[in-house]
Amino acid sequence: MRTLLFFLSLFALPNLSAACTVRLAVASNFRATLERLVTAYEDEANTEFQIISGASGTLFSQILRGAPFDFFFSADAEKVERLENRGRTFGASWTYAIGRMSLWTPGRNATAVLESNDPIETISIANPKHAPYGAAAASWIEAHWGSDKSVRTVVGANVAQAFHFVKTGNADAGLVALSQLISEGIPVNEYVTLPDDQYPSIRQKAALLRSPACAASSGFARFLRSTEAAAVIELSGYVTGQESE
Amino acid sequence: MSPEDLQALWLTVKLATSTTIILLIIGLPLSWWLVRSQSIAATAFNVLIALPLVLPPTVIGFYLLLAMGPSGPLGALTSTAGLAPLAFSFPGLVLGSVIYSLPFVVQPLQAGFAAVPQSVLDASSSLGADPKSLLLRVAIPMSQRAVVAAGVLGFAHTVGEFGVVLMIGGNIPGETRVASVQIYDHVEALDYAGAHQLSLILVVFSLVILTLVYRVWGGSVFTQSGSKSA
Repeated sequence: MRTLLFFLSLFALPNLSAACTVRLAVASNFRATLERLVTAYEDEANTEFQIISGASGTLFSQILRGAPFDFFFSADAEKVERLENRGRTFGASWTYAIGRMSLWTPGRNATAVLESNDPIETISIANPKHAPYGAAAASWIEAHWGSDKSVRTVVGANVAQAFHFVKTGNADAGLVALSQLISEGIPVNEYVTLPDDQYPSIRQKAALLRSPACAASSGFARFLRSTEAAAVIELSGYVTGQESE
Repeated sequence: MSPEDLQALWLTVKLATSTTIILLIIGLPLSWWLVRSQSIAATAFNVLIALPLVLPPTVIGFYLLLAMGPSGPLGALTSTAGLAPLAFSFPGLVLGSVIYSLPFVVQPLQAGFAAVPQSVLDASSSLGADPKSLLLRVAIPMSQRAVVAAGVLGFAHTVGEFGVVLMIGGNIPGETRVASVQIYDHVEALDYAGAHQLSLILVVFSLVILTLVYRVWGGSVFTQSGSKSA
């Protein structure tokens, strides 16, 4: 019995190690950047930041059903605004980043591919029905290739999977997030960042979901809107809301 | 229900049917050999076949995608054979499903074959039956329940497949967008009504299949004693 209690107590230990836990629910595309932001944030003692990444739609459904998250960084604006309208956010939401989309053609010069209309066999995009990068990609393809059926489009569940299809060589091109290309250290000549007037804007909004559990939580909320945080976000391949609003 | 939903359902039926047929063709001789062989190779095969029971589908899907890529073994194979790449294609999904559902077909068959009395097999041999007719004319007819169970479970498990398809499918309508993926898309797009409709069909389908299994075969397909003493 004592041994059993000892082992059971082990399960409780991780929770005891930090006085305050701040949970950040984040769309997959922003995860790496958020990790950098957490590192950059002057961490208060005894605070643990937990990052939960996933598809925005999944996180949204979980939040509606009471998932214990402190922040939500959606890949779009709509989901955060819906939560806001339902009174499920604490304070106003804000645009934390505007996504930039790139055409990536591994092993080829992307500018050349785009300008000379070099053939692309299979292009990988995120799902246009629910992923903002997917909607942007689909409208870009429609505008550029129209009814040209020679390009086969494959659809990843999100922009991370769209990237993955290209990375594994199963698609020879992809419309992916600039932030992914930067964080994966893809050579710059392999991609072209598309002008943002060529696709619907990928405005990503965030919100605090409940009253700050500890000082670190409200401190982090302020930090996210600082110029220091904006610099990290821009270096990661996004435009920040501060400039355009 | 939208035409896209219907298309996804139809594709699911097509995938499950093709997978089940292939699995029975492979599974019958394979299970027969596994039951009768004491070799180390048979043990190794048993372990390999059971792997999908333990491994998350994402692991299987991930490595299949790598294998199907131009630098993977399957990708090299298809390109030397002059075939279309397997990723994002219906044949690719069938291959993934065959691997993923293999234990659900092989294990009931093994249980069925193991229950065929050795005395019957010995008698058949002494009457001149070769190994092939032992399987086709003695073991399979005596394990009908197991064969049906294997088919039903293989089919049902393929209908319920999601992770592997998500990893290697590419969500192409009519080609790789099966019902489970379509439901995921509805949920992600916050179209809960669409998700409910399609889910309802799958729930009803599962209930019918399981009711059949329990009513018609008394549930014994799962805990197969196989030898239905005629």
